[in-house]
Amino acid sequence: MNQNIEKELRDLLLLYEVCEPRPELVFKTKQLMKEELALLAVAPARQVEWVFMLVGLAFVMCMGLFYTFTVSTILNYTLPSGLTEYLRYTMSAFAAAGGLLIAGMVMVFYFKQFHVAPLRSAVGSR
Amino acid sequence: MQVYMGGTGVIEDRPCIDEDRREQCSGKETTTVSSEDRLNEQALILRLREGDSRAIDELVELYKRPLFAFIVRMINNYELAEDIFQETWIKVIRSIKHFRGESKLSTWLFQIAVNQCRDTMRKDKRYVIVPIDEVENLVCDQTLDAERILKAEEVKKMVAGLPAKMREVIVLKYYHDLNDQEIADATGCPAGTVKSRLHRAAKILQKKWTFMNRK
Repeated sequence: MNQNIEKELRDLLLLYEVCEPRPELVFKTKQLMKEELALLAVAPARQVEWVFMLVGLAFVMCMGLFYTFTVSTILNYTLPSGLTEYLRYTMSAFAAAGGLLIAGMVMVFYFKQFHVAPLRSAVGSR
Repeated sequence: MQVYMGGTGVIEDRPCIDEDRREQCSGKETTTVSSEDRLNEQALILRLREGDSRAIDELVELYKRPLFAFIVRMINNYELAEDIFQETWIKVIRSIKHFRGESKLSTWLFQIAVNQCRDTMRKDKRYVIVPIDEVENLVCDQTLDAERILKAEEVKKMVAGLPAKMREVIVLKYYHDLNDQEIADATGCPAGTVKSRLHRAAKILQKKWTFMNRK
């Protein structure tokens, strides 16, 4: 576009002026942004941990059920009676893994709440 | 192409007379940044990512005017523009961790604002049509003469009457001084398309202005 034409067009368009946003709007926007920032600082980590924990727990439970209803049942009938004792140990190992996972989840939840609560109250008091 | 400027010939660049009003009211909201500003910008982004809430104040103060002016010119409705302004800033906070710093921060902000405006216009077609707004919303400086206010009203209608995609490129180029590549980044289309839209929009504006002044 020709320089003169562009300048003329620019001059013409600059007649359309816009006021700056109201101070109340800016203030409210900043508040909302700060609240969002505070929530974002804690939210993603907690969600990721929750998802990880639940997926892990579901996986262990599925493995345990699968083992109980298929492998364990077959072995129970096929193995000599002296070896079935070891089957019970393996079942206990699965139960222990599941229990540890649940305990870990409870601990993470507790400590997250412990850290998040003061932050949320700080945001709310602003 | 000759842009007809009415009876006065060349429009003089007369800003707001009062100093305070000059601060609040402007036709052009440039976002040009020096290399030092760029460093400050990066530091600001880092602070935001680390959760420093004071960085929000600085960021908003830096870009509130150009962003708000852009949204108003795109939507042509002050109330709705205020909502979009808030939504845009919230979205900035939500996606600041995805900002890779490949473009200027202002370009990225405009990109978010463009998307917010597009979403709003898609949801509510009313805002594509030019609403009849009060003249006092158009210019902040009430000391301006009546002729200039009327001209400004006509320019506002011309800009608002452009198709949304042309309005985007015209507003970003002439009010915010973004170059073609930056406009392409902000609008998500190739630089060639931006050039063609600019050219077509300029022709439409010229025709409209000539028509308005003949009436």
